[in-house]
Formats: sequence, C-alpha cells, structure tokens
Amino acid sequence: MAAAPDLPLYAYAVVRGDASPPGCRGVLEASVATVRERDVAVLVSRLSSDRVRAKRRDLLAHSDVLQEAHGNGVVLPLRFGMLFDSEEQLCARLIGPRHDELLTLLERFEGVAEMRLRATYRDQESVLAEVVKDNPEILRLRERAHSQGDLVRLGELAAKQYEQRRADDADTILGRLGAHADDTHVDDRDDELAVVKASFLVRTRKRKRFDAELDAVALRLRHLVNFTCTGPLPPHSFVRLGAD
Amino acid sequence: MSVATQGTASNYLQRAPSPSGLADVVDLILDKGLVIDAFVRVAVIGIELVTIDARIVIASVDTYLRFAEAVNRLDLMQTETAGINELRDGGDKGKGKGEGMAKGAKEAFSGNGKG
Repeated sequence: MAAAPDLPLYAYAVVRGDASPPGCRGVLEASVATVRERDVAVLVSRLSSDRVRAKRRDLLAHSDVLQEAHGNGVVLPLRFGMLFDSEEQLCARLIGPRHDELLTLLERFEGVAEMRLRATYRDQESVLAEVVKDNPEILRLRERAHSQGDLVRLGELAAKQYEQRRADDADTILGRLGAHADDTHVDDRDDELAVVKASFLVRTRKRKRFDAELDAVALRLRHLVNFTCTGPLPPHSFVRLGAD
Repeated sequence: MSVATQGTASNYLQRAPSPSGLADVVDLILDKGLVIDAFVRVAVIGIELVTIDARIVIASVDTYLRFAEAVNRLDLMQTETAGINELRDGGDKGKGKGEGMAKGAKEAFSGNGKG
C-alpha cells in the first residue's frame, strides 16, 4: 500500500491470501488493496482523512467492493465501518491472532453464497378474502356486526386468521427453500404485508435446484405474494467468529 | 387490487444479482458481517440513515377495527366465492376496492445527505 501510515485503513472483508483486490472504488472514493499475512488477506482502503464520516454512498461502496470481490472468490464480510490505525495494527489484531480461524472460515464458505429473499403480500385485501371466505364466524359477523363490540370481535378474528395465513405461507416458503440450503437466517418482518424476509446459504452446485424451487413456490403463491430474490451475494448473514 | 390483475413471472418474482438500492444494502449489510473484538474503531459516526421501526403489532383495538373495516369492504364476489352473495347485502356498503389499508409503515430514510 501507499505511504501515509498515519491515515486510517478501512477494512471490508477477509479474503484468501492470494486474492486480488477488486478494481472498483471503495468508501470515500478510495481504491482497494489487500493487506496480507500468510494465507489470509484483508481488503482495505487507505482513507484520505482521519475524520471519517460514513455516508449513504459509502454503504453502497462497501457493498460494491464485497460484491465484486465475491465474484473473484470466497469473501468473509466485515461489519460496515471498521477502521484500523495501520497495517501493523490490522495484522496484529485481526489477522495474526485469528489466522487459522479465519482460514477455516474461508474454507467453510468456499463455494457457497447468500441468497436473499423477500416475500410480500401484494395487498391485504386479497389475503383477507381468502381467509374470510372459509370462516363462517367471520362471514356471520361481517353480515351483522353493528355494535363496536361486534366490530372489534370481527377485526380480531380477521387479524388472527390473517396472521395464521401469513405464518403458514412463511413456513411453506422457508421449508421448501431451506431444503436446498446449508443454512437459513430469518429476519424480523418489518411490515404488515411482509410474509418472510430471509437469507439462504446455498451451495453453488445446488443453485439450480434452489432457483427451480423458488420458481415453483412463487408460482404457487403468485396470486397473493410478490417475491424478490437477490444473489448470489457474499455470506453477510452467516459469517461468525467463535467469539461472537 | 383486484384478483384479476395477477400476473406473469415478471410481476410476482423478481431476481437481481446484486442489491440494487440503498434500502437493499441497508437491509443486507447494516448490523451484519464479522465483528472483531473491541479493538477496532468504528467509523459509522454520522451515517445519515434512520430506519423507522415499523413493526406493527396486531393487538390493539384500533388495529382490529381497521381489519373489520377491511373485511367489510371486501367484495367477495371478486374472489370467486359464489354462494355467499346474499351475505353481501347488509354489511357491504363500501364496495370500493379498499384503498390500501395496509399502508403499513416501511423503512424510511431521513436526512438529506446524498453521501
């Protein structure tokens, strides 16, 4: 790396010792290089200022660097926003004491990628229509709910049925796709329409089967659910060090 | 939305090789990845992102009333549930499509920095 050792190093990810850095620009428009110790290297940028203020585009740049590096080989993403004072500090504190552990992790994540899935109900009405039509109690209340109490009872029943349907759909999706993944990470839902938000750790050689299963699941639920699948991505949701 | 507009592959399943926008990236990256001890300075000082916590708990009377209203608004004929026609007489005044009662909060980003 270039001189200016007093400026901080931004670290993106752990890669194999012989990996080449990606050609794209990183955070704060800096170029990306590697710091290597034996079989392990870290992708870094030497920042131009000691006063870093990470912004939106830096988050995107961080993602771009990881994405490009992942195209070249196995990548262990580091948490966004990590700075080291110097190459020596990075080696002494990150690679040195954990060299073998990191190498083991690199081997474990070789040939796998994260597939990110978001499944969302298109609208609530369609789901309610499905759950309501088979529920005599709801149909009855719908017909003659006049008091506030009736309405609350109707809404409570409908909400319960809605939640049940959502849980069932989530189970279907997770079960069928999870069968083709080494690991599954489910995120909290952040939206009343969200059915499931999850990441699947999928082997490259199983990608076709995973994709075909996704096609099938999406087809089956297409009258209610929109699916967005992003990947192959670096294993953001799956990397852990023993100490975590 | 009516059931009639459901669709083709392009509108129920979308695939992307990489995250395409800030919301995707925030979702994917923030709070993930390896954490190395406490030795490391963390640069995320002024990241201009605010995610509004939008988890909605379906447990309040207001929510129930909202659901009741949505159920009452349903035009069940549209959903091919023939045979319950007569049930529609009384409670179904708002025959409209129901305007997205599920506006449900989403992640939003405040701040005006473009980075």
